Amino acid sequence: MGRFFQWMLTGLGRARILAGLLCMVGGVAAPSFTAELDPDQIAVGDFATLKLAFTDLGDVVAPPPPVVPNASVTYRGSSRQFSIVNFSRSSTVIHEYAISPKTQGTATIPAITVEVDGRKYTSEPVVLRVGAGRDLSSIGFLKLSVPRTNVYVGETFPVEVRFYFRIQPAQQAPPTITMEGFLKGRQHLDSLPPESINGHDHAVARWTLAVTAVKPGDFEIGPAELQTVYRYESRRGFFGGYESRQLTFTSDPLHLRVLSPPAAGRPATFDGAVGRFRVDVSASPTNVTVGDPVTVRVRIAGRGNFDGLALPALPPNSGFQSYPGTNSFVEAKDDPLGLSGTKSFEVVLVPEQSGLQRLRWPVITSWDPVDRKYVTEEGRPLTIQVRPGAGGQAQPTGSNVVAASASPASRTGPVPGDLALKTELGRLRRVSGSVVMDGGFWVAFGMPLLAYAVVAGGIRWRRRRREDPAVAQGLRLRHAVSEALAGLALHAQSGRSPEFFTALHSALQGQLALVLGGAAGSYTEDVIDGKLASRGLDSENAERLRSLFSAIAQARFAPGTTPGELSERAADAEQVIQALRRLEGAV
Amino acid sequence: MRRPGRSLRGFQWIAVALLIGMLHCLAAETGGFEAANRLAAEGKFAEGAAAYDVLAAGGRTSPALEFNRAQARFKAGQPGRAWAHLLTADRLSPRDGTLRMAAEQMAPRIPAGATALSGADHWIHLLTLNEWAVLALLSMWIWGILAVGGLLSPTWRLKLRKAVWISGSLVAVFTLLLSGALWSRWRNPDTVVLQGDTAIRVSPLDEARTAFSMQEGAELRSRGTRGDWVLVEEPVSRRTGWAKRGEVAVLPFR
Repeated sequence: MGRFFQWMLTGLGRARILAGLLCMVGGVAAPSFTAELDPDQIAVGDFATLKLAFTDLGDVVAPPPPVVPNASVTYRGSSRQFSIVNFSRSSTVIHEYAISPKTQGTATIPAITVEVDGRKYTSEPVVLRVGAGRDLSSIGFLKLSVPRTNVYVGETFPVEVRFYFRIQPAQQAPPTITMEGFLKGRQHLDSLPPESINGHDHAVARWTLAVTAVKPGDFEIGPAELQTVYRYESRRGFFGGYESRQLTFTSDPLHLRVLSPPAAGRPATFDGAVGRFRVDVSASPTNVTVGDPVTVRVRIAGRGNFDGLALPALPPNSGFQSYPGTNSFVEAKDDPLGLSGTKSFEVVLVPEQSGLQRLRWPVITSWDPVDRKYVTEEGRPLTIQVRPGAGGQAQPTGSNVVAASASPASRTGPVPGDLALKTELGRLRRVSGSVVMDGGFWVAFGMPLLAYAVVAGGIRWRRRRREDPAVAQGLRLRHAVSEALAGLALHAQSGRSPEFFTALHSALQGQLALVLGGAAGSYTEDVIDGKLASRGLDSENAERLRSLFSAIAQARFAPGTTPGELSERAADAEQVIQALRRLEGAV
Repeated sequence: MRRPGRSLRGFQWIAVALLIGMLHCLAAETGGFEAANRLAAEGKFAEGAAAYDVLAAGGRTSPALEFNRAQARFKAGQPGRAWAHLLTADRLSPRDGTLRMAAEQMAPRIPAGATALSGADHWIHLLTLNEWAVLALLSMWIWGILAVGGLLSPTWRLKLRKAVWISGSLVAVFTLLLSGALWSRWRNPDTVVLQGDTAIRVSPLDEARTAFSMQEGAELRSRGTRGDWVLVEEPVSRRTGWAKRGEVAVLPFR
């Protein structure tokens, strides 16, 4: 065994092993392109996976989804496989598509041709057998509804799709509704309280879509389709797990009759507006000179098709010239579809005649689809006092007037859905990316956090230090030594011998406790040779310390000492304390 | 030896000259804008759009300029460019209500128009990224000052406790909203196709094969650039490919 490893480690052995491995993987399979269905037999509502496998063709981009009649095809993603079979290695890129047939029978996926490096590869057509769809009613069902089945041209109304389900899908897309003769608007999704149907509780999801009828006739809305993905426990593999299944719920279609508002009794002021509206008009200023601009604000509030709502032209010979303005729409707060709200117009009128001018404008006539009658609304008449001018027509001003003031509009009011150009240029700025892409922003953002962490950490460190008994003892001793040293000089000068030696005793004992770590007051001169010498106290200071201990002992029995001697002792004590401080921390 | 008074007078003259120059530029810009507006109002939309482009040629723009460019381009029959200008205006001035009306007007001719400027995260777009960032930064600094002040003085700590909690909550809220806005910008399309049947190629080369093609006004996600090419991703199918820079417009990340 040992010899074998030695042989392997020699250069010749390594070369032989490498050659052997190269022989094992040396063969390469021929390039190929295949199409495969998994499974090839499904039911309506399920989906099969079409796998396009490109073997040894490199990184092939996914071909566009094939067109399969009566089925929807969506790209799902790609994967890569490596294999060695009979000493032949191969690399396969697999692009997967989900195929969901809508009708029973067979669906043929046609041959697919791809071009790689100038060479064309074509797959074989594959056939998908589609059986009858499963009964989805045990899972849920879809219901399509409208408020009325008779609507009017120009009327905007909500179409509601409700999904009643007993099992929550893992994923669901917004439903699709096929319709012709209608314009789709905004949509909104919300949840409704659960309902009990046939003794079973069903959760309810509701999509509401704003729809506008555009031409008269009999039309069909729907069916609505809702694509969902459910996850089931898999029984295929040994280890179980989950598998996804796409289920499509379909509603019944609805038949709608779209009528034109009746010609009989139609007022001349009717301009196609459908809904219920109220009109409010205001003007300012109301006391002007001929040629001065007057801004007229018209607010039309209500429910209906606001897109088709425009201001009518000024009546002929009204005495005013109109200039284009702006309009804006603010939807009602509780109406996410925008069917209710307020449309505001701002128009500039220029009086051409002097005198007290009265203007009944605008007059809005709409068809009320609920009460089925024409309704004419107008705001209070405008009364404007116009003084004679000095001659010459003034140009309109204001924030909403197009700069082309010399050319009045050919028609009054904005074109439906049209917007006036903005006249205030604003400040021109170079458009750059957001500051959040700048590292400096995040540094500035993190600085308060860092400052907080530093201050909090510092305070905590100080608190812990203060609460440490050893540290607290050290601080107390240091304080006591400092105070005693300060008292030495004073007592020496005043010749107070007892106080001097008491302070000397305190200073020495305190400093020795700091050096040796014991309790102050327990040290005698024995520590000089026993502990301090080993810590490096020089002989001169050792001798001084010994003499200080002796002086303290003598003072107990003969306290009388001259101030000069006390000063000398004080100087010695200071030198000894300095020397002992140098020994703090030394072992 | 130069007297300091003389050099100060020199600076004053330079400042006056700069001010006059700035006022002159401002007047020229305003005049150009009004001239472009006049062209558009007269129905000369292509000429008006070209005049707006001249104003924006230096790379500087404003929400009003982008809005008017969008209007002129749309009326000149270029919905893709119009859409790109409108979305740029929205990123510069997200609370302008007229943008939504313009979007609804253009929606029938734009593939992504039906969902434009709406959606569940519309409210997060009420502010620009910079505005969210400033709110988050301000709240963070206020919280930092109050919190550090509370640490330094036990008296302040009691007095500032409520303010620290409120400002801390604001930091959390604004930081979350900033993150949401960033995520939304990253997730949503930021590139608009400017021409019909624009070829999206498999690699950034003129001779590369077409992976797929996109309609004018379609929205894509940009995922990188290389020279004159932009790597784009189709949001629905998640197919990726390379588009020429002149054939798509990448919106500012704001």
